[in-house]
Amino acid sequence: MFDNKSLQLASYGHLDYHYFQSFLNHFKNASLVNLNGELMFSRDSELCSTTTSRLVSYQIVKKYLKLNPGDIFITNDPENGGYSYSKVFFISALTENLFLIWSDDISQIQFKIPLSPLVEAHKKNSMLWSAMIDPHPQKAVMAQFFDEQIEHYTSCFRATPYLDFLSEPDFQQIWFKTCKDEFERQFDLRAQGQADLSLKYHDKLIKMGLGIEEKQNSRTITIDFSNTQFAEKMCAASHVIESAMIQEFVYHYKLHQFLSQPILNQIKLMMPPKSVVSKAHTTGEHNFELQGVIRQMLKHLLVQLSSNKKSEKFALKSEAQLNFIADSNVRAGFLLDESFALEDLTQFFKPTTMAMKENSYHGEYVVKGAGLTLDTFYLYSEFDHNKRFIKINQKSIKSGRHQLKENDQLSIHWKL
Amino acid sequence: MSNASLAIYLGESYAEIEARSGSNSILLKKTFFLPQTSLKSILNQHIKPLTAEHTISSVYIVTKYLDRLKSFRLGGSVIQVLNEHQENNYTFEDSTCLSLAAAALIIPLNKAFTLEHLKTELERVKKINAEANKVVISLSQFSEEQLTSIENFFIENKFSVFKNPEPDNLNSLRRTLINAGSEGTKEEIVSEIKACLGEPEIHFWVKNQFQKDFENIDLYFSADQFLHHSFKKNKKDLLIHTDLERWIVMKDKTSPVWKSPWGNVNYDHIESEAIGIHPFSEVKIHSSGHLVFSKVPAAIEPGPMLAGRSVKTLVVDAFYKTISKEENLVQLFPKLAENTLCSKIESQFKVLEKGQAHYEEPFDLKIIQDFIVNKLGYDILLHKVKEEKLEWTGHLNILFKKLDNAVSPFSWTAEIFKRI
Repeated sequence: MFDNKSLQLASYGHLDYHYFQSFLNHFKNASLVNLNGELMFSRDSELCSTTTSRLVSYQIVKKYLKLNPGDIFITNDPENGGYSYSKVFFISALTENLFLIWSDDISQIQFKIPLSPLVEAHKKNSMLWSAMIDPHPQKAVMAQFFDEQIEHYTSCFRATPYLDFLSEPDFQQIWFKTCKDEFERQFDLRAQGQADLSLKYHDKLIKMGLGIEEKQNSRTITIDFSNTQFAEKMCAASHVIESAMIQEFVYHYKLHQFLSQPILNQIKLMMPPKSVVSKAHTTGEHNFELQGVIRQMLKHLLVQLSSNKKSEKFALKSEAQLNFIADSNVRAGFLLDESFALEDLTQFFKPTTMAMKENSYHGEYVVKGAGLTLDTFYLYSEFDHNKRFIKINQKSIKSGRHQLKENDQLSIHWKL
Repeated sequence: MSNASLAIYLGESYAEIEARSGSNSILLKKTFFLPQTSLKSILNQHIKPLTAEHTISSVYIVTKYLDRLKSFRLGGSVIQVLNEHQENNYTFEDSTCLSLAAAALIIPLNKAFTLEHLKTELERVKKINAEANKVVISLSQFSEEQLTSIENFFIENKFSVFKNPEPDNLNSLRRTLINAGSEGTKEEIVSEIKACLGEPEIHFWVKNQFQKDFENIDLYFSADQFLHHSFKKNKKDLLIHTDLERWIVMKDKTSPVWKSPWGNVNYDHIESEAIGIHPFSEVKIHSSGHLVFSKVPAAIEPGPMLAGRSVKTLVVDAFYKTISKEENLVQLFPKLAENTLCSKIESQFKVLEKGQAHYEEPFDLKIIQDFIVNKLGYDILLHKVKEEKLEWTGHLNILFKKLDNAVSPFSWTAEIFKRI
């Protein structure tokens, strides 16, 4: 018989990331954190990154509430560690020294959920269930979503003795040292120096200064947003911006498997208060596009530092996320600079044209019936004016929610 | 002459055959590493001699061979007739997806086409592959009359025609292409058996039984369906399957959409999940000096070092000592009997050990083995079920005796004979 006791509970150094990956296999975006709030492992498999947002959500719970093993709290408040209404954050305790925080999407939620207990001591909170799920027109979809999340948590919770092993401070210290060593190794292999970039986006100036240096054996990455303009309508919380930047750094330094507190400690951010990049938006409406802008700017600076293309001018590229929603059915699309993914839309539309010619996609779709909603998150760049556009009935659209009627025409033109 | 039956497991990289007489005594049982031989030569070399004394009246097949479509594409024999400018339609839903069929075998048509044009196009693709004998027609906005004339044209040219019932739906197109492609692979298997054994009754495992009627029946998940039936019959909740090709867990759960390498396909199938490290992952040194396992497994050809031709060290090579002591597995890798191959593998792991810069205690072969076994154990733990509700199959289950000392040698063909 399969015997748990025969498993050797020992650290395998850098190979330990395999264990974390298996452990978080069912989550798209998740973090494991210890009691001190130190990030042990981060899994980020989506463009809309929530790396730092998850840590902020955890800190809010830790500050105001008592989180015990068997508890799961939820929130989606973009002004308090969240991202958008449709992205729900789950903050849970696995042991006294191990906490699991993750986020997942459900387009049917378009209202604010303040920090609330979803599960307490492994029992569903019946009050929350009856207030939030039972009256919802898409009750079944909502119940399925939350039940699945609870199931994922439970499968992690049951993974003893592995869970106890991950909670041991000794193991955590070994893992942190492994990650720090790996960061230093990768840091030393890449260019250092300073670079800066200014961009006017929707009439607001964003200034980014990047400094990568080693001084007295301390390796530091600094991003300075000083002189970025104050926010008016368009803005995003600092943790939203930081999440996007961390993912860009992780990609640049090839540290996906090792992203943890010792690496976060080396990244210093300077952000003026209430600026475009440091003021939370009520609904998080601009988070997608501002994450895209910051990611592209940082990538440009990192490439400038590492290559001879120092004089190359920065050109912002359009990006879009599309969510088509009709009752319980949701189809998503990501239109990016180098890749394109649009789920099968034939349930909602009659396609009249679908063609890919010279890396340029052109799709014309006619809406089949009423009740279709399109949520668009759109980073629009005038550089791509003729190459990339999304139109409804021949009119270009912007970020936001669009209600589509029968026989409305959707046009997508996207050059890769 | 007495009657005999033949059981065949035809995997992606290996095959197992077993012939039994009417009285159920074993006449022959062997396993083969497929890249180094073929079903045709296995049958001719090992089964044909038996026909001098026995009539092989029935053949029972469980297969995962169609998975070869993943690496070789359908390219070989399937022509696609598509709307003009839809030649790259596999990129419409995900620009990073692989193409399911060969681009050179696409015939793009617009509504003003003529049969003369179609004839020229067919001649063009026939020059690329003269053996092409299947066509998938997926045309939207064409009249019924036009579609009928196109279909008749291909029937007259001796093609098997597969029509996509929803031409605007790429999910449906992928399903139609898989049907057409797997039909070709199935024909190949059947013709090789018939060429060697005459006209035996051929049965494929379909869903929960062996079936004689398999025309236009897709066999893509035959092996998974067989495993599922086996552990359900034994009243287990979870199956661990560890063979040369994959290490997976399987639950009694089906999914209506298959996330294939070519995009989503509406295909009701039993869900399985990879666990542990892939047996064909390469063990190598990362640029920063530590040991890693490649994310993408190595190709089945030339396979692991165990097979004697590869220079890449794969996960399964770490267990060469255990494998060399198991009769079934040595048949798969006969070169393991040579000391030189064992020494070569051992020294390869020494090279990997020395290559781990920055580490005072680099991982040697023993630590690598321990890690692979423990990782699989942890992954099983994440699917926690009661111990008595777990079944463990696959030739390589013996590598994990430390985790489950009750595992017994697994044989596909023995399982097949239990279900006849």
